[in-house]
This record gives sequence, C-alpha cells and structure tokens, in this order.
Amino acid sequence: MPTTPTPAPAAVPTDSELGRHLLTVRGFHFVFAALGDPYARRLRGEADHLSLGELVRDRGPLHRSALGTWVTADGRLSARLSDDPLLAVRHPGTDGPQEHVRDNVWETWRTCHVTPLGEDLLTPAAAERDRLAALLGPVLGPRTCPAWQTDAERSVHRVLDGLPPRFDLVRDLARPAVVGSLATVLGLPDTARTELLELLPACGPALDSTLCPPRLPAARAMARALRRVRELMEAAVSTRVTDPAGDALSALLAVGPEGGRDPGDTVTAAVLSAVVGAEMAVVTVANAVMALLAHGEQWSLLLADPGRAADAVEETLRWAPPVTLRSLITQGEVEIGGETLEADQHVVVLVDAAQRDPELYADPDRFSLDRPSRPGFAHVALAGPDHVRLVAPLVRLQCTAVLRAVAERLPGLRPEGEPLRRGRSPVVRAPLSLPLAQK
Amino acid sequence: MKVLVTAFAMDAHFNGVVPLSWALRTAGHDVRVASQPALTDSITRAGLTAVPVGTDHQVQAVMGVMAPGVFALHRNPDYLENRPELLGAEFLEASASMLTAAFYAQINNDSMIDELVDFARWWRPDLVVWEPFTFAGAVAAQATGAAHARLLWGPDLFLRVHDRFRQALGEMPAEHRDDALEEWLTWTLERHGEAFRPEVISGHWTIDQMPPSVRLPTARPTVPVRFIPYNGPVPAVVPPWLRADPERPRVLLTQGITERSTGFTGLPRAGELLASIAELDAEVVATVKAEEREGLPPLPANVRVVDSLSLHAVLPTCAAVVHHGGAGTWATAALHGIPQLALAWQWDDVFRAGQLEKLGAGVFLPPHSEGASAGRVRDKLGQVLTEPSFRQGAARIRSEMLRTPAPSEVVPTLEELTGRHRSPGGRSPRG
Repeated sequence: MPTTPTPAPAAVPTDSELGRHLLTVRGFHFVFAALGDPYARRLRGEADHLSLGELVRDRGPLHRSALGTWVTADGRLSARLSDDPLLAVRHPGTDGPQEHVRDNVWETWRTCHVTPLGEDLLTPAAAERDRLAALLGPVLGPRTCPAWQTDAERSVHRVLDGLPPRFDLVRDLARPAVVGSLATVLGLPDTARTELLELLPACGPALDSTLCPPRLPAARAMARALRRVRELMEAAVSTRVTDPAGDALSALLAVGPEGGRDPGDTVTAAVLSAVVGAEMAVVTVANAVMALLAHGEQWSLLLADPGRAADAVEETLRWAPPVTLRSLITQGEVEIGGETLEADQHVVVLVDAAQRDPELYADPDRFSLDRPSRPGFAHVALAGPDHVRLVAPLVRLQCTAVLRAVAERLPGLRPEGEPLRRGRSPVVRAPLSLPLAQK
Repeated sequence: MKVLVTAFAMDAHFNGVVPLSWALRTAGHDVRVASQPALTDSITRAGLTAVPVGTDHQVQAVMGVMAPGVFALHRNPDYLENRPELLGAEFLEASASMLTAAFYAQINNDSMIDELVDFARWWRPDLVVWEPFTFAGAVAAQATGAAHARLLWGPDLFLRVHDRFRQALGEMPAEHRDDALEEWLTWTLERHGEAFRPEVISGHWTIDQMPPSVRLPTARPTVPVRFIPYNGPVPAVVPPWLRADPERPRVLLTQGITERSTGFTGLPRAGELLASIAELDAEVVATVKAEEREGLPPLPANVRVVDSLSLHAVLPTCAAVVHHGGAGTWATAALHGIPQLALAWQWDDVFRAGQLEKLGAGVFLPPHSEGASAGRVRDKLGQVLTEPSFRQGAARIRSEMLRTPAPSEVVPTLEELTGRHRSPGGRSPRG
C-alpha cells in the first residue's frame, strides 16, 4: 500500500518567536496603511473594503503596493492569473512548509505565508496538488460531486428540523448544515461530526492567516484544532480502509494510482474539505443569506423557485466571494498587466474588487440571480491553482443544498440585528453571527 | 534596599533617571542601572553602576523603515494635544499596534528582557524603577516580586491614551478587541512563568518629574518629584565665555540629542534660522553639529556656534531659548525660568509646548506649518525678549518646580511604597 511520504516537520517556533513575527507583520500593515496604501489598508482591516478595491483598480491593472506586494483588482487580469502556471502558492525551488517566522521581516519585507500551519495544507507542492486533484476528480470533482446531492440535502434538512424560531445564522444554521453535510458525504461517525463542529471556529482563521497575522492565542488554537481535525480524519479513514461503506471516504480510498489506495492523500483531501472547504461554504451560505435578505426582490425569486439556489450561490460567489484576497508567488519571470515581474514576487488578487470590475460586469454592485445564467458569466471566486479549486465542487454542492432548503422551509426569515464579522479577517471577511427569526 | 533602575539604550531616556538614582545612592541604597550594552558608557560616565543586559536593540534600523508611517498616524492633533477622549478606536488600535511592533518590542528586545529577569532573580531587588517605555523593568519586577515604579520624563500622555484605548476596547464586541501591547507583554511574561497584570503597563506607582500645571493625572498613585537637569553624554563644562554676564540678551538655539542622532527633526535649516535670529538685538548661541557647521553661511558677529553645550550651564544666562520641544530641553529651561519658543511637532512635545503658551511662559510654533518660517521665528522671539510677561510666566513654572520635593526628599516615600508593594519575602528564584 503506497503512502505519501510526509516531509520532516519544521521546528515549532516558540510563542515569543511566533508572537513577534505576527506582531511585526501586523506592524507593517498598520504603518503602510497610515501612509495611505490601499492594499495595506485592506489587510489592516479598514471597514470599507470595496472602495479600497476601487482605489487599487484606479492605480492601473497592476501596481506595487508599499508593502512590496504586487496587487491587482482588474477583472480580466484576475481571470488570466487564475489560470497561469507561472503563479503558484509556493516560493519557487523550495521544499517543505512555506514559513517565514524566523526571517527578519524588517530586512526581507516578506508578508506572504504569514502564519505557519505546521503543514502544507494551504501550500501543496505541484505534485501533491495534482495527485489530490486526480484523487478527488472521480469522487468529489466538478462532474462527480453532484452524486452526493441527496446525502447533503438529507443532513441539511436534519439541521433545519431542529431550528428554534429565533436562531443565529452562523452558529445554528450555516455551520451545522455545512458540517452535517460534510460528515454525511464523507461518512464520518457522529462523534467526529460533533467534534468537528466544535473545532471549526478555531480552524476558521486558516485562510485569513496566510496574509493577516492572527492574535497569538488564535494562531496557537488554530494549529491545535488543525492537528485534531487531521486525527479525526485519520481515524475515519482507517475505519474505511478495513470497513468500506457507500461514502466518499470509501470511494476516495478506492481511487488512486493504478487503482491502489493512498490513505495519506485521502486524509489530506478530507482535512482540506473540513478546514478550507467548510470555512468557504459557511461563509458563502452566510453571505448569500445576508445578500438575499437585503435584496427582497431576489429573495422572492428564490422563494418562488428554490431550484434557483445554484444561481444564488454563483451570484454570491461573485458578489461576496469567500476568499477576497488570493496570494500568489511568481514561479519565473512573467509579464503581468504591462509589468515584467521577476521570479519569487508576491502577487495578490483582490478577488472581490475584480469581480465588480465594470469592464466585465454590467451594474457590478447589483446582486442578481439572473446574472449567472447570462452567456459569458464567469467568476474567479473558486478558481486558482491552489487548495480553493480542489474543494470547489463540494463547496458548491453544500451551499446549494443549504440555500435550497432555506428557501423551501424558511420563507419568513428576517434579520433581527446586525451581522458581526470576525476580527483580523481581511481575506475571508468571515461572518461570525447574525440573529435571525422565522415567522 | 536594592534598587534596580532600567532605561532602554537611548541617552535622552536614560538622562531622566540619573538624578533620582543618585538620590537613592546618597540615601544609602544599593543602585544598579541595567540597559543594553550600548548604554554602558553613558551609565558609568554618570557615576552609576551598569548592568549590561542582552544584545543592543535595533530600533534605529526599524524606525528607518517605519518612521514615516508612525509619524503619519501620530500627527493626529487630538493625540498630540492630549485630548484622548476624542480618539477613535481605529486610531487607538493602529497606534498600539505599530508602536508595539516598531518601538516597544524593539527597545525591549527579548535577550535584554531575559537577561534582566535573570539578573533580577539573582540580585533580588526590592524596587525596580523603570523608564516608562522600558517594560522589561516591570517584567523583571513581577518575575521577582519586587515593587516597581515608572519614572516619567514628561507628561503621561502614553498612559492617558492607553487608558482611553482600554475604555474603547471595552465598548467593542469581545471578538474585535485587539491590544497589541497587552498581547506582546502576555507572551513575554509567560516566557518567564508569569501571567499578564495591568501594572506591567502602569507600574505600582508613577514618579512624575513634570511641574503640576503640566502634569497629566491618570487616577493612579503618583509621587511628584522635582526635575533636576542631567545633561547626559555632553560633558558638563563651563567654558570661559560663560563666566560673565552677556552684554546683550542671550538666546540659545538648540535641537535635542535625539533629533541630532536620528535625523528626525522638525527644525528649519539651522543656517537660515540663525541668520534670521541674528537680526535681533541679541547674542545668539547655537548648538550645531560639526558636520553641519561647514554648510552654514557666513554669520554675523553676534552669533556663537558651538558643537554642544551643557544646557544647565548656559540656560541660566539666557533670556530665551528656541528648541525642538524635547523633554530634557523643555524641563531644563522651565526649571531656570527661561521663556521658551518651542518648535514642537511630535509626541508629548506638542502638549508641553501648548501648555507653555497657555501658561504665558513661551510660544509654540508648529514647525511644519506656514507660520514657522525663519522670519516668523525671529519676530516671535523678538516678542518673547521684549515683553516681560513671558519672563513672569516662566518664573511661575519655575517656582512650581522649586516647590516640588527634590529627589532626595522623595526617597522616604519610595521606601514606604516599596515596603507596601514588594511581595513579602520575595519569590522563589523560578517565580
């Protein structure tokens, strides 16, 4: 049974080393934000993120931020960069985890890969990424994923069955529905589902923490939660190695090079789905519900035909994407937006702003369910040469299942307060809570 | 008792701890002064006992990158003029974050803190007196159960703003509370087996060297003490020309030692300023660095340019002083009752300069404004020299300062407070 060799773990930095690193990068963000740099202002967490994106676009298709990072909010360019093999998530020619904790940031100015996760979850090497894509394709790929629709919907309905008249959008609906559908599709035991639900908030900052330093306790809690998620998935996978069932983990174990089984990759695929996929799905569900409730006529369209849930998901992915900043590294000399960039340059795509580029989208600030079915509609929210693309089909499936069920069963939904978003969340802009009531 | 005094390695911040250190020594206490190795010469030249700890900080290099952004944020008038109630949460979070990253955690580098804690665990001080940004002193005190006090060199703008920040944080949802200073001190204390306590930021009490009308209350125990000038690394020598009264009113033009060494200065170019001031019926004495002196235009006979001077030697002979607003210069002039023209633009300098004007003891000219041309400085200075009200205002501040107990007089209070705050019997060597 071939297994994936795991690279030697990097020495874990001490609290003081990690804390100082996170503090330093945060200091960079605040200092250059004070000098007016729009990208630094985004990272620092200024409220009006969309107008900062417009400021970036005003500076041309691509410009170099005061932080040294090249940034773009150009719609066409962002679409091109999502598909360019010369842009990847790792520094070219490096092995192992992408970490800069022990670098002297005052000298290197490196503000990518800010927070070490202790593993390469968000920065798979090309070979590993291709292996994972080949593994996921036949089971949870763009064409195969819809096969799990019934499973996903069944578990979503179970969450809706238990909703009280007043509840919280994220805590009571989005998170349990996403974790429930994930557990059902993968075939996790109930104990793992329960524990995953508790672990997810701590894993939340993973996507944000690539560009924005979390507070030290949050960084430590995240690393602990990630380790525990991996343990849960290892246990679930090892059960399925000996006792296969009709779930996705069993199906993944049945795929592999020459039909062999690779439990290591299956575990990684499951961890990705739970950490990256679930966070993106929870955020997208929450963003969609908030957008729909704020746009009554669109909400009415969905209520009239819950089968349009997929349209609502696609328009939400464009209008309020779950990963608003995509961090890339040039793998060689590359020409982007009229600039020639050397290898190993940091490039960040402002996905949310790019997806409101008036050059690509008519009336871009309008949230409309009719948009996705128009010819030529496309967005880059789930594109990219990275972890995001791998989990995209499952994220779509989960979000569509939840929105469809919500439209079918909660037509009287209304907000009963203001949404609260997570702090230090410039990448995901993660909703933490919104009190809701059903009539 | 054993008193551990600490100030990060920067002369202007060290100078303020020297007179009280001596007061404690001459009262019979054992005093040691800890800092990074770069300050060792300054400490021993002050006749004090140095304890070099850790490696030298790199704050100068860091500020080379960060200073423009730090100054851009802190030009906020509500901050500079001590109106913390007007400061918003967004400003306060940005301020705490960048100052902790670029300044506090730099001047208190890990090796310096760790060796200071090690030294304190061995030497077991009863009292730690720390310069208000040298949080390493508070960490070492907490780790050893010593009493500890902040020794201010200026009005307590920092703690006032920090208190306002804590209040703003309390009004936020818990998920959004972000205090970089507390976060840094938390993991720093944990490294030494200690939990964060608010006194690490505020001290058990504060020793304040400002005159009452320039002091900022913080609702915490404060021991007022008279400011006594110590001129630091500049040798205190009285040159022959200073041993007689000047024939015309003497004006001193100076920029502080920190601005001289960092290059972050608010003063107009010295040559232009000197030429303009020299048009007054006055004798002008200017401290100008040797390398800058070459660039000066030919100056009239009533101008004397020197490399450096001991301020407390020259100021008593002056009718006015023009300066950058720094703490030591301001307080030395105030103690001698000399009217001041402060071209202040940063930090507490602005508040102090504003108070000066409010108290009728001088003029505040923000140097980056239109109104601070060389000609305007000359005209304002002319006013200060001719209108007696400035001298009277300055004399009022001087008498406030003279009424404040001298360092030697506060030693018994410090002894008493130490007894009250020190952990009985101290702590075991590992906390």
